[in-house]
Amino acid sequence: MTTLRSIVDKINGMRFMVESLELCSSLAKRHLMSQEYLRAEESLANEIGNVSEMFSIIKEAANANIIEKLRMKLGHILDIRGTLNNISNAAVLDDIQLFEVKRFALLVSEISELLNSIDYKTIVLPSLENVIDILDPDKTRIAHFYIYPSYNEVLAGLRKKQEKIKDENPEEYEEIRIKCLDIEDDIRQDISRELYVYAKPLKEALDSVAYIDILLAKALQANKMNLCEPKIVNENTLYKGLFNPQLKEVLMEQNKDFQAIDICLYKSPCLITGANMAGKTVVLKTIALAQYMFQFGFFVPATDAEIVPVEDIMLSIGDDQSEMNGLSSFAAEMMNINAIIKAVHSGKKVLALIDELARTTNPEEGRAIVNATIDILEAGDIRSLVTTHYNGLNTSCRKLRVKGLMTDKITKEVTIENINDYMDYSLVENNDDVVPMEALRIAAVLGIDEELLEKADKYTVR
Amino acid sequence: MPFIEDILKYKSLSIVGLEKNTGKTECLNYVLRRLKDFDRQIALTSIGIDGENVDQVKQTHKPEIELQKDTIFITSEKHYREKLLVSEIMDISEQHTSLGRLVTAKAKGSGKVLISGPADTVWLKSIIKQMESMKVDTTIVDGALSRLSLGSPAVTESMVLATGAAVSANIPQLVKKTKFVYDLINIEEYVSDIKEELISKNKGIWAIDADGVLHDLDIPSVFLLEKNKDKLFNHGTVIYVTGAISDKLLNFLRIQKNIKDIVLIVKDFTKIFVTHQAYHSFLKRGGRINVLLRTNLIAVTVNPVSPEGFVLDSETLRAAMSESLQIPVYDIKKL
Repeated sequence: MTTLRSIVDKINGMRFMVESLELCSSLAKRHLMSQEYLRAEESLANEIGNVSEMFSIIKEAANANIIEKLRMKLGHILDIRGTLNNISNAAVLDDIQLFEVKRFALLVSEISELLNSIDYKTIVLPSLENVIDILDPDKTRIAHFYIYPSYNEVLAGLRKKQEKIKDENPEEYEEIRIKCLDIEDDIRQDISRELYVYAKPLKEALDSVAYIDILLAKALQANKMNLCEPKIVNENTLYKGLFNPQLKEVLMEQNKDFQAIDICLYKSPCLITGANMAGKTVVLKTIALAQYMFQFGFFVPATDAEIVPVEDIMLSIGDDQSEMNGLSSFAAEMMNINAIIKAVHSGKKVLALIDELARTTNPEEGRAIVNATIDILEAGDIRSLVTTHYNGLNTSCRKLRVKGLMTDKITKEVTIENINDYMDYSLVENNDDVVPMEALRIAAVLGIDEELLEKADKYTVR
Repeated sequence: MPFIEDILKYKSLSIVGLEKNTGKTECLNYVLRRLKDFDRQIALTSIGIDGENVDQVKQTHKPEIELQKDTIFITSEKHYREKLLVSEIMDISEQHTSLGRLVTAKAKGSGKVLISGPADTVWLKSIIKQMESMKVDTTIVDGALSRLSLGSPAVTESMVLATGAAVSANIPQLVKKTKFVYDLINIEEYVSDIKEELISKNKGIWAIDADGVLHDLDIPSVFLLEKNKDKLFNHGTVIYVTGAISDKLLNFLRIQKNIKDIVLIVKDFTKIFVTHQAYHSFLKRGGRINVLLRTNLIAVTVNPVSPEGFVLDSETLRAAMSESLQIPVYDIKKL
């Protein structure tokens, strides 16, 4: 089972998306992290539909006040799973736990009312009025709790007497105190038994408020970051204006823009070529992020998106800590590729994203590995993107190229600071077999030693 | 007894013992008992857990503080479960202390309870704020003066200091030691627009330049000051030290050429762990110290009985103390 927790630190940018969700309670955060990767189209459609509905609600200016109140109430929800487990295990609760249940039940009732006021019916919170009645014998509807004297007349009488004789007769005082404790214990037992019946609705309510919190946070995030509702499709995945939210924010801090890209993934492998620093790896990472966000029911970072759900997303993006596993970078990469090939053979529907395949070995064999991999990828129910610097690939597969340096637009010296202004990150179809030769130029921009550049230039066979 | 009416003027009060067995708990119980006669909502909490209440034989905590009916108190879950009085739970914190979450409750009768509160100053401050919003007139903090404590009683508006024979069995010595703490409590407050920003800093050494802009001096600790001497005055001579102030630091600053321009800022007086001599030599050479949090000392209580059993003459002690401090001094045994 793949949960959000298991991938959040493996997928570049996912931690950023999770951290920037404005969840109201830490309960919701735990729920979110244990959300599952949604494989079934139906559950995906349902999840995205729920976010979409919430999105329309928060977009409605008239709801702003209610949303604010709702978020405040959700913020008061504590994670009382432990206490609820005690109830369903027929344990006797102490005052602190009974207080937790009472406060929770009152909050649920208030949240229900707020949801009703905006006519929200998708997630219906179970009624906990009976729970409130048990814990609120004086009908104050204030979220305080102790073993009220109104639970038991004898207790009420003893407590009164106890206060009176406190200073005069310490022995009798102690006797009465112990009698009171005894009666209180009986009452706690009765209350806990009565609550046992409501263990299920209480748990349901806890899950539901956490879920509403999550939906609300996803919708607010979508609004704030300009994410879009992905359309679930079966043939081709298509992004218009795809962007990387974290990178966009970093660039924004430097007063730079992130250039969004359009890309379409068919059911056949696609090769991406382009100069160094042209953002090929970013494209791969962003597509991985968007696909994961989609599969966990988030809106995605694009202006328009149609996405094919997949059973698994498989990556080979060379930032594995291969040394840690005692593998060379080539060995680690081959293991990843092997896993992808296995998935193809098993007929699994996957998205495979491979960065600079076979880059760490000699070009002859490297080229052969790329060709062979693409041949195999062609056969399965698989959407894949492979970036490469190799030319002379004899496959007939689709090829895209990052436009790269806009030579005609360069008016002053290109430096590491302004190179971003002269880069065109958009992807174009590229059916000839020419690979951009801009490595030396980029190296020059980076300020690499001139002797090296001159010598390298001499060695270059043009 | 007079100082009760002074307490009512403040939204928060801490009661602090200079040493163990200086009668802090007696003082606290006295204050709680007397406040009962005024129609005021009182809340009580503490800073962390106080070792004074540990029973040395059984190693268990035994409740010492007697709460009056309707007093609000804030204590840990563990101690709430051990309480000996009837009380209504009003709130439970989300944050945890080492003894569990903090329970806010209201006493429905009188009785004993052990109070353990938040572990740090920021949390304590927010509790005092929360109590204000719950219509509490005065929040009383059972305070501790400890080098180990992250929480400082100086966040309260007012303070009562408990001292006594446990500090010294010699009256002039006892008066001198108490006077020194009294002087520290009365250190002038640093007035600035960036005070809140300064309070929120928990690490490092900072400088405030002539334009009131804060600079991190990038000196990891006062122990590394001599090595980083060149950096210290890069942004002027107003220096904020977040951690504890030691003799070594004061002595180092004292011998600097620009000592007359140096203003040393500390969070509050509890951060100053220096000897009387080092402190006064520093001031004498022209150095200045300011605090960010300053509290008003309302009264000093003295306990003439030492833990070893000898008893100082109450009247002589009281008289000597009030003469030196010029504020009301009371014998805790006679309250």
